[in-house]
Amino acid sequence: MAAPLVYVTGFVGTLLRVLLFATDFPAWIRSRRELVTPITSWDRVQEGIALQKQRISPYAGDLFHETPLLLRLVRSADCIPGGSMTLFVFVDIVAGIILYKITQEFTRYELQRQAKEMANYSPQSKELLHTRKTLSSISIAVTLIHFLGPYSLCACLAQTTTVFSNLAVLFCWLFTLQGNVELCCFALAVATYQSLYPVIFLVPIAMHFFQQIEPKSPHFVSKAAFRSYTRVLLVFTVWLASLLGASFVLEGSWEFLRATYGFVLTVPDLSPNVGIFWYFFTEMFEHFRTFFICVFQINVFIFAVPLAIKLQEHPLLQLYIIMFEVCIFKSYPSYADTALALILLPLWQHIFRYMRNTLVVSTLYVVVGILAPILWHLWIYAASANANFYFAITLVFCSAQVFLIADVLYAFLRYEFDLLHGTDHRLPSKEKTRVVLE
Amino acid sequence: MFWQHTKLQELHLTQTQGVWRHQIWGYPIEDAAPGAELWVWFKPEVKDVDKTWADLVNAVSGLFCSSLNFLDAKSTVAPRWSFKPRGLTPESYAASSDSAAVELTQSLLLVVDATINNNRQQDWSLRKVFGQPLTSQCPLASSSRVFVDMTDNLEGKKFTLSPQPTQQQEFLRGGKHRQFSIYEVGEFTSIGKALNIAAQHESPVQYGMVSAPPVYAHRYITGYGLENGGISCHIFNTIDAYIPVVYMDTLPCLAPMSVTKVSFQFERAFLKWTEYPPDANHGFYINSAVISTILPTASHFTSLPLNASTIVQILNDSSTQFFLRLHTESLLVSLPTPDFSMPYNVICLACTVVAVAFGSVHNLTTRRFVLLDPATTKGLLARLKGLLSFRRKKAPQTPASEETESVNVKSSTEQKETNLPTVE
Repeated sequence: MAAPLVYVTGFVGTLLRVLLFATDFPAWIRSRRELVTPITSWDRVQEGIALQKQRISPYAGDLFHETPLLLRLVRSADCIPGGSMTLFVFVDIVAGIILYKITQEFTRYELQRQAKEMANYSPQSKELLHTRKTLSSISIAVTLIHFLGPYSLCACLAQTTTVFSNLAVLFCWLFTLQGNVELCCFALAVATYQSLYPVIFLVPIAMHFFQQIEPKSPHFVSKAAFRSYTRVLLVFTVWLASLLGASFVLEGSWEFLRATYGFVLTVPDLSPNVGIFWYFFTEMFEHFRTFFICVFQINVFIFAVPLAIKLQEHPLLQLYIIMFEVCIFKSYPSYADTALALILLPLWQHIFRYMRNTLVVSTLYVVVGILAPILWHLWIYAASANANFYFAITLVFCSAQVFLIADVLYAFLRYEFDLLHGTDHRLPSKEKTRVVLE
Repeated sequence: MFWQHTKLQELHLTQTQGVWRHQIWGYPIEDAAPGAELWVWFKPEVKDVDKTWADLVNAVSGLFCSSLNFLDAKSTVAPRWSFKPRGLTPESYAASSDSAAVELTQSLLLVVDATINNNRQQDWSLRKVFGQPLTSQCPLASSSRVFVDMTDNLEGKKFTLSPQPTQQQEFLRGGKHRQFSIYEVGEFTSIGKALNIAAQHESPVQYGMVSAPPVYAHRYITGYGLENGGISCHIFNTIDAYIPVVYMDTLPCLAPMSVTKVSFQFERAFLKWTEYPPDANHGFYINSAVISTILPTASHFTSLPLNASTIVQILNDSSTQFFLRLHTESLLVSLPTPDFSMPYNVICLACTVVAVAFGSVHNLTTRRFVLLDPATTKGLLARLKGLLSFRRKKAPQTPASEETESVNVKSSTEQKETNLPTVE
């Protein structure tokens, strides 16, 4: 049904990437601060490869911040025809296939859940229910955004290494939906190994697996629950430890930990990006620096707590929101992270009707996309603007993403309320009334 | 005293204004980097070089009343090849490190274009150049001499010196002859006469092309904007021989009659606001590159060899190799700057975004959706709505839902006393 359109999108997207790689566009996009961070910059990866070829540790200087295993992976790309470009296009095709599978699994999962919960739903909420037809459009939307969306397209062309951790996160989604604990933990370990922050995805994933074991109203704080959580944590730890151990064996020292995770956590490089860290810590008073770095890093992880309590029945949405918060508040965010967050947004298309800020948010995305390079040029090259201009546009971008994810959460809770109480809100006295937050 | 305390073997400090143009002027007697340069050999027993260095620069900084204490790890290198201890071969280095003897060399180098300064008169004298003649010699000096290079005189650019020099001396160095007139300053000043050396040209001199020295370099910044840039250094070899050079720590081989171009790209860093110097938009200085080489010819070469302290010692220098150390131009790189005036605003604005995210998640996760029941809602909301008088004006006109009506009815009764005029 939807498959032919998906194939066409995939083919067009791949062709577009191959064609654009032949132009000057990737060279320009590779210097864009919105896409390329000190960690994921392809130029720096090449520097690391060059150093490694000279038998100098790539972590000896303070230029290279990627992980040892990834360095070896992209280095081996020299052997294939087309080199690194082939690798990046290939990664995007694999991501597209995984996304298609995710949507299929998600459809199955949602229909199953709906069938199970149907008894609790209000008879008046028929129009809100999933049907195969409404769900089938997800796969088209997701592949369309992935293959033709500007964020994922530019991330591929800029050859940011974020695409590798994004791929790991997508595998993690797939195996979570398939209920495969070992592989899911492996994918999550790879994602964590690559960019550290995905470690927080453990919370919703562990809850999801427990929910799968105990489908009938599980108690998330119980002995059985903790047994399940421990298992997930243990498998994850084993995978992560083996990845780090392999890196240690290959590198011969633990130096890479300081250069990669130390770099992510202490934020020593303040070059501009679309996050909130760079200008904040440029302007921070020195004696508050450590304090605020702790606050900002804790802020990334803290969202897991309220969401785990409020959305315990819906670990997948929880996973999505946490993923989004990480992509906003991580220390070195880029459009490539936003790409991942936006690709999976159509999974929640059933709640779109309850969203309130769609116009504002989509306008802000467009405005930032256009203005950010202009303000950068005015500041850095024309010298007619200053750092505040670029800071302002990154703040707008952060705000837009915050609005969007808050809106998703609101819309979901509102949707759930309507599922349980029907869309026609009346008081016992048959008066029509509104729904408010209490 | 700090000499013993910091366990120094050797210390060189140069402070320079301007740039020496090797291509036009040849080599100076003592080559120096633009700005200040301090290089030091520590004795082998120094364990913590970094700490000793920090102590040393602060001491030197105090002695010379300069801000050398800014020479911290950021602007200091530990070169392996470019700098060698003076007067000591590596073998004798360890052996003589205990000796207490200290040699102090002070040199002052000045370039004056006498012709331009004297209204295009090519004749010059000490009085014209420096404003006054020599009236005494340093009381501690056993020898104080003025050397005038007369080599050009042999080639027909005739000028005569007055008073007559103490002696004429021919230098033979690396097969090149140089003619010097030497004045013993003491001989003139001891009898109470001032020494005003003057040169008088017989006829106006036509300055010809001066051949460039064997090796020289030119360094500059490339690129535009504040994002990326590059540094290029051209190293010229004008003689017909291969010359290996040490360019800081890379080793290109200079082919005969060639230009070697060393260039590299850099990305400009974004620093914390406290890391910028007081005049942030002026930019950051980049130390001059150091080129060390051994020349096979003495052409243009006037430096003292490593084992000599005075010019007289090189009267007959039969060596065929001449160690040369060149400093290139120092560079000025401007970096992108933040707005230094608004740390508070930035902190507030960034925290606001964090707070909005945290606040909205907190709001949605700690509260739940309920149906608004006007009958039970007698709380703050209704009162607030009542306060907004425009709502009450509007209420009768709009066919509002029952909920808004009931709220208004209730609140209008509450607010009657305070807002009488509007109700009327």
